[in-house]
Amino acid sequence: MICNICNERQATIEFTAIVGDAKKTLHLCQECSKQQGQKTAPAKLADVPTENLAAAQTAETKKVDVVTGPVAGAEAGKGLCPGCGMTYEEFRKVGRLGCSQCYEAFGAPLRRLLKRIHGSDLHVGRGPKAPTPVAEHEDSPTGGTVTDAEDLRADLAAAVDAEDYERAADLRDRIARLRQEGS
Amino acid sequence: MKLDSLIRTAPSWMSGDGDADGIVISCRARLARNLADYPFATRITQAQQQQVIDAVLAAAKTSHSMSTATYFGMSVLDGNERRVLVERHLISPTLADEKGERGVLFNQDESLSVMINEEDHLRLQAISPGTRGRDAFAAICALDDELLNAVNCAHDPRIGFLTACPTNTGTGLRLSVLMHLPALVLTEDMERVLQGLSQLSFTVRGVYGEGSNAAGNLFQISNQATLGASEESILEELLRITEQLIGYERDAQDSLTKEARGQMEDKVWRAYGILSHARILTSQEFMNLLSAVRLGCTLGIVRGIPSAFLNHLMIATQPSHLRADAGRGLTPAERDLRRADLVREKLSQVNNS
Repeated sequence: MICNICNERQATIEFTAIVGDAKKTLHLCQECSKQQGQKTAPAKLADVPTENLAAAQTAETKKVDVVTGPVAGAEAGKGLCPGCGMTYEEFRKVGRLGCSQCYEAFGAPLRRLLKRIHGSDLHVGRGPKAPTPVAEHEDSPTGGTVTDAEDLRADLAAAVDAEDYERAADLRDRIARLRQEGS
Repeated sequence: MKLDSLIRTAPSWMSGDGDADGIVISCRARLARNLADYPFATRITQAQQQQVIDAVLAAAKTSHSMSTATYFGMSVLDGNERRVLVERHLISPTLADEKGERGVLFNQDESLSVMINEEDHLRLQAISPGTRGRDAFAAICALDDELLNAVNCAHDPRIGFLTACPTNTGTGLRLSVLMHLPALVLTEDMERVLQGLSQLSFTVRGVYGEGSNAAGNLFQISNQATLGASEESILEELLRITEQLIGYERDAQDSLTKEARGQMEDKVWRAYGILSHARILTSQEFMNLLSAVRLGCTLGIVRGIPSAFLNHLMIATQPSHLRADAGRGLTPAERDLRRADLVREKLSQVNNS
C-alpha cells in the first residue's frame, strides 16, 4: 500500500473512521503520519470528527496517534506527576505514562482521553484482590429488568457529566451487578 | 527446558480441539498489569526492573499454575532464540528487541505465559485451542488472582487497572480469536465483514499481530476498548462474533462448492501437489498453499490431515525455527530450500501414517 499523502513511500499506518454507515480508511507512511500528527487532523480526514477517528482506530495505531496526535492537543494539561516527574506534554510526545500516579496527576484531560479511546472512563469488572464471582441464576433477585439498567445508565451518564465520580462509581457497580445477574 | 527442544514440540493450543473443522485456530486472553511501587517502562531503572522480575518470579513460585514454569531472561538468549519465542507467540517483538532487564515465564505446554518488563510490568497470556475462549479466560483469571495476591498491583477503583498506555487502562484485557477465513476472502465478502466488526469495536489483523498482513487468510480478531465493559461481557461478545463468522465462512464455503466444486477441488489439490513436491517455498507462497490445503480439509476434499499437523507446520516453517533447526545462519534462499524440504518430509510422514 502506498501512502495516501505523499503517494511515494510504503504506508505503514492505517487510519480508519466510521462516518454514518461508511468506513473511511487512510493509509499513511511513517513520515507523513508524523507530520500530520504535529499539524491538526490528517488533511484528507479533516471532515471526520476526531472523536470517531480515535474510537475507530485499530489498537496499534492508537498507541501512535491518539495520544500524540491532535486529539489530546487542544486540552493539554499543565499537570506534573509527583511520582515520576512526567509532564502532560511529555506524555503526549511518548504516548506512555510514566507511573501509576500519572493518572491522578493528569486528571481531567487524561480522563477525557480515556473516554475518547474507550467510549467510557469508568471501569467495570475485576479488581485486584476480589475475583469476580460467577453469576448464579438461582440466587439472582428477580429485579434487573432492561429498563432498570437503562435508567441506571442514563443516571451514570449524567453523573459523569457532572463529574460526580463517587455517585458514578456507585451506579457503575449497580449496572455491573445487574449485568451479571442477567447473563 | 532448552530452546532447541522447544522447536520440535507443538504448543497445546495447536491441538485443533474444537476448531470448527479448521476454521478457528485458537483463542487468546491477555492481561496488562503493573506493580504500584515501581515506575512504568519509560521511567524504570535497570535495578528496579530486576526487582520487578524477582517479585514476579517469587509470586509465580508459590502459584498453582506457574510453579514449574520456565523463565528465560532476554539477556541469556541470542537474537534468533528470541525470534523463536516470538514465532511461538510466547513473547512480543517489543520484548525481544527492547533494552533492559526483561524476560518471559511460560509453562510446559505453552498455554500460559507472563512477559515481565514489556510495555507493562506484567503481560499475562493464556492461549487455548479452537473456540475454547472460555478456557483461556478462566486460566488467565486464575493466574491473575494468584499473582496479584502476592504483589501490590496498580489499580484505581474508578478506572481499573493502570497501564502504561491509556489504550489498555481498565480491564487491561485483550481477548482475541485466530480464524481461517479463506472462503470469505475468495467471495470478496471479507471487506463487508471487517466493516461490521469495526462498528462493534473489534479490530482485525494478521496472524503475527501489529502491522502484519493477513497471510494465509488467517485473521486475528480482538476487542478494542478496555474500559466500560466487564471482562465477561467482552468474552461473550467475542464468542458471539466468532460463532457468527464461522456461520458466514460456512455459508461462503457452501456457495463456492455449489457454484464451482471443480475449481475448488483443483485449487486444493494443486496446492497439495506443490507442497508435496516443490524444492523452493517462500514464506508467502507456503502460507497461501497451506491455506488452500486447510480449506480442502475443512471441506472434506483432503482427508487424513489433522489440524494439529497444519498448525505445527505453520510454526515449524517460520524463519527462526528453520534457522534453529539448521543450527546456523541461513540466507533467505537457503531458508526457502529448507522450508520446502521440511514440508515435503512432514507431508510424506503424514501420508504414511
